[in-house]
Amino acid sequence: MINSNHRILSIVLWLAIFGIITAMISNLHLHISRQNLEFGFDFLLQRSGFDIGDTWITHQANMPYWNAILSGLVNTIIVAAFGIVIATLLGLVLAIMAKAPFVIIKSVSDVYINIFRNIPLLVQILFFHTLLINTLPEVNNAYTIGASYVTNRGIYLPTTSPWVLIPIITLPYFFITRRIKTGVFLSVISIGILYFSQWEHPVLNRFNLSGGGSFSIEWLALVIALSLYTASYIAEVMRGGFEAISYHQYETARALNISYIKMMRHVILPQAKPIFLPALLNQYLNLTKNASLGIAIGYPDFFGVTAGTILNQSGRALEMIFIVMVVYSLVNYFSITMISKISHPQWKRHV
Amino acid sequence: MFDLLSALDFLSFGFYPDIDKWRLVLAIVIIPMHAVLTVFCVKNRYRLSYCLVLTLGLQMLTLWLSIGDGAILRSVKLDELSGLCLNLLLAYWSIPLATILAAGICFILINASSKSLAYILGLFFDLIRSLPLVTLLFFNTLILPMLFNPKLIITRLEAAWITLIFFLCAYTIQIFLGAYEAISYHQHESAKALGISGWKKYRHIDLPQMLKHSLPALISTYIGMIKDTTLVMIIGLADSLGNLQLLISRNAYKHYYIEFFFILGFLFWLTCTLCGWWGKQLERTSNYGKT
Repeated sequence: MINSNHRILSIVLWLAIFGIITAMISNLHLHISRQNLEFGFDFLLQRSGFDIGDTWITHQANMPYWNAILSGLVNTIIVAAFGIVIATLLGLVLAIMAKAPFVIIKSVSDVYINIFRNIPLLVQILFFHTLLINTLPEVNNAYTIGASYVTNRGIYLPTTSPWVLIPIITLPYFFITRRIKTGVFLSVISIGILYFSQWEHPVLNRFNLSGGGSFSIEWLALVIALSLYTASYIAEVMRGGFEAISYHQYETARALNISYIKMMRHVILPQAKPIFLPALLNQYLNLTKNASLGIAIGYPDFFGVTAGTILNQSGRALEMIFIVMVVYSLVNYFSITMISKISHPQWKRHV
Repeated sequence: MFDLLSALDFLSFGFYPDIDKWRLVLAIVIIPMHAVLTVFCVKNRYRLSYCLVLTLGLQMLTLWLSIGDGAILRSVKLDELSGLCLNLLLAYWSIPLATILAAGICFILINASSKSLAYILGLFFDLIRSLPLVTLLFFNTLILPMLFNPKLIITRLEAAWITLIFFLCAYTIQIFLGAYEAISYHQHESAKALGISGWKKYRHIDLPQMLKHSLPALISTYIGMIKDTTLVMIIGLADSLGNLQLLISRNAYKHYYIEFFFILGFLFWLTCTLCGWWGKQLERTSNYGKT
């Protein structure tokens, strides 16, 4: 591809790039010196002076800035994790519906995909946020489900020690790998632990709820909108994977009198998985990046904390830009390496 | 008092001066006309440079119509653009420019004699692709005025415009490079045998095939761009979504938020669907050779 005719073009472009970069750096330096800004990351160790209400890692005013960034990052990861799980399940259902032999089921999936793909994500996020705030009741007449409350500030649930969750989280693993006896044993044990463990119930006061854990309404709106939006893309990706399978497979399955769901589960999905997996991971990456839109409804995710709160409070624009760039580039780099690894033909052969 | 027409007017034109609204309507009408003209050009196999001149001319025309020049048309500040027109015009002003820029940068990436130049350009656009558009918009409003001479004042809308162009360009380059890979190696060998190389090869052999191969992916990226123009709300521009938020914060419209969200959603759905339909038409007309 290297062409000697274009050596002059390259030299001119090199000079242009150097010129632009030099001019920009000198302008930046001019601005920094004029506005008495300083550049350095030592401020991250200072006291932050602001609380973040809705976090999984507590952040309070006397904690340093890096803790705020960390709690924002954890918020983003948790939103992305919930969104990915819900979007994948919903997308799988929609994709299976799209290939179903009934026109009504097929058109339901088509209409869903058409609507949610063609409306901007930000409109959906703001819509669900406004809808939840306006339809759910105030705190003093909250819906009560068992010991949990549903209000327009969030869902308040009873909590217990997080270690209790470990057997419950590991449960699906044993069932998926067909270790049923271990799974049943573990579920009996986890039910026992849940029954006897110490629960902290949310208490309804006059103006607010205290105690227990909560999902805030911003979190809820963000996760709902992200997963509904991404589910439509995932459904398209999976449908593409299903369509790449030879129609002989479908016909053979039908000839063997396998039901539609079983055919999808045991014949089509294992073959389609390596085909759609790279595109699926790409959608996961998109969802993670789109989680930064939480700033529109005031959810303190990574970008909201760094660019919204810390930047406004400390005025360190350049440092914050640097941190955001590095973090997102690293996330992107690792996921792209993973995607290119699994989309390698050699890997596919072993699936 | 509930007044649907004035609400819709606010949603679509926002704070644009009342007397000059006809100009904005005209500018919006030009966009589908441009789309139809492009299909016409492809159908009659006009030269690519004619399409380029047409595109740039219509871009300048819409820009002139919307901000005026002070002599013939009353001049309006670029920041006074708002509402759905801002979304549509931002998309219209960034999509063709980004595609042209991407085609130019692809030429450099494919033909550059120094690998390091291609590497640096690739790194720059990879960085753009790895960041979410919100972060780019948010930071560019802060950092772009810092990177230029202090005398040059860059408004938020201009920063958003530049960001959208570069963001779309980064994705379009990736699509174009993928399409370049799809060109059969016989084409390159034939070009070599005929002694065609460099710009001539790129312009007459690579680019037409790249455009044709990349059309479906390009259209879906364009649809994504149309949707992404709503993100300028976050940096404080009064686009349709920002105006919607203003509208439903008023007491008169407070209880009709579902209706307003549905109206806006429908308008975006319509725009995106029309864009997809246009892409299908373009695909059909550009499918020479096949019956």
